[in-house]
Amino acid sequence: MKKYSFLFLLFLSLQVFGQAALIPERPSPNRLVNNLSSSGILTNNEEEQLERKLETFANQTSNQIVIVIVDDLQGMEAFQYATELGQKWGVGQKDQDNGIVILLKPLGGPGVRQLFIAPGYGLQGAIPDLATKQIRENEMYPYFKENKFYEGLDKGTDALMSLAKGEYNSDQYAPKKKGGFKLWKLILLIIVIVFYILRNNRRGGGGGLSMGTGFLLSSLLNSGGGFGGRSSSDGGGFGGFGGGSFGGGGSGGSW
Amino acid sequence: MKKGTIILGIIGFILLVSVFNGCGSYNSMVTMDEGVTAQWKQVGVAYQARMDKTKNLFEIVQSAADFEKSTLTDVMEARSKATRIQIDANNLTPEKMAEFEKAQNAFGSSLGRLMAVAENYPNLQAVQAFRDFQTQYEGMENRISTERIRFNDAAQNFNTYIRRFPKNIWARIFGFNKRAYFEAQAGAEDAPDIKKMKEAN
Repeated sequence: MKKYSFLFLLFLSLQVFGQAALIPERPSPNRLVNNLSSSGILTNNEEEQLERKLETFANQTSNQIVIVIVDDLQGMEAFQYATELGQKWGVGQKDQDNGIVILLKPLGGPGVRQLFIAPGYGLQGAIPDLATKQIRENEMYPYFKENKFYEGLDKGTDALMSLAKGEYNSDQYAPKKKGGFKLWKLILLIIVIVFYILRNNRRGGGGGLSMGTGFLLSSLLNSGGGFGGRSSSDGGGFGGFGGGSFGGGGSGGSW
Repeated sequence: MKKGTIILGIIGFILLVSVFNGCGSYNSMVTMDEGVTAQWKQVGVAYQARMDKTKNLFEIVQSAADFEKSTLTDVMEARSKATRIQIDANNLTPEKMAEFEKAQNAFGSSLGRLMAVAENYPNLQAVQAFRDFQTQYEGMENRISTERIRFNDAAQNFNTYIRRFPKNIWARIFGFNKRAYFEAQAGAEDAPDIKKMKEAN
């Protein structure tokens, strides 16, 4: 029996330690600029500037561009790391798949340092693989070669934003209210409360809520995150990642 | 009389629970099975994109005059063979999948050889259209590899689900069978050559 339970545990752990497990967890609250590297290529101020620019863009157009800076690709190819990360974090909106992952590994010599730009499924028409190559070579590498990483990322994201804007904009996208407050719930709640006050008054007080009503009340309060809403706790300044998908598109290389 | 009622009640309860359990399992199996089929379609799209995009390649390569004819004809033959083998997403037997995969892999590795040989042709490297194709080629291979991995993941999820006790009983009753996997790709070693070559440039 013990032997089998060991085997079962081994099987479980093998399942968990797939490649996705090597990808960092998505940050809470969600952030668009994620510097997980020890390289110090961006100052705090520069990170904040990029974050604010990308947040504004995400709020205006629903397209989410994520910058991830790492020291190590965990033995994966850059395309795989970027694709799996975009998929795992759910960058972009669920129905539009309009996220972009910019993966940067700044350390190492030429050929070792890496940049990969991965658009989600929904943006591959607006940003074909060739466009990601041109953006890398024309907008980003010239700055990276001079160790001006902020300028490179700034210009690169500008170019990606101008291409992505044409595909999805705020007109086509109605922001989802995650766990939002629904008016009908409030009305129903008031009716139930008024009903009880009236009934209890007639009876002359006393008598708690019946089990059914208690259940109804609690489900009204609990369902859909109640009055608070989940998004505010996890969503960062742009409403949080929406669950977009990635299929291995884009291009990458070294400078 | 009273005892009988209690026993009947217990039997009824167990029956009810197991029927609900069976319904839940059945629905999950349908969802997961459909997920595998949907993922197969994604795999098909990725392979088809490689077919479509290589059409232009032949013109580009031929325009750069002196390219090895044998390498080019190998790719063309493998491509036309692979085009002929199409499979229905709802009828994915292991045999058909293996046949599809064999044809696609033959095409993929002959294409990989062509891209590697192309390194030795400065004429070809100088053509902008060919350099563009190199970028697209990497993207095609990346997409195929991504969708294949997802397909195997979906198939593995489904297979694990239907083979665990007690779901395996319901799976047998409802007639759900194990889904086939992709084998490890033969000739995949051709791809990194191109990567190295590109990085060196």
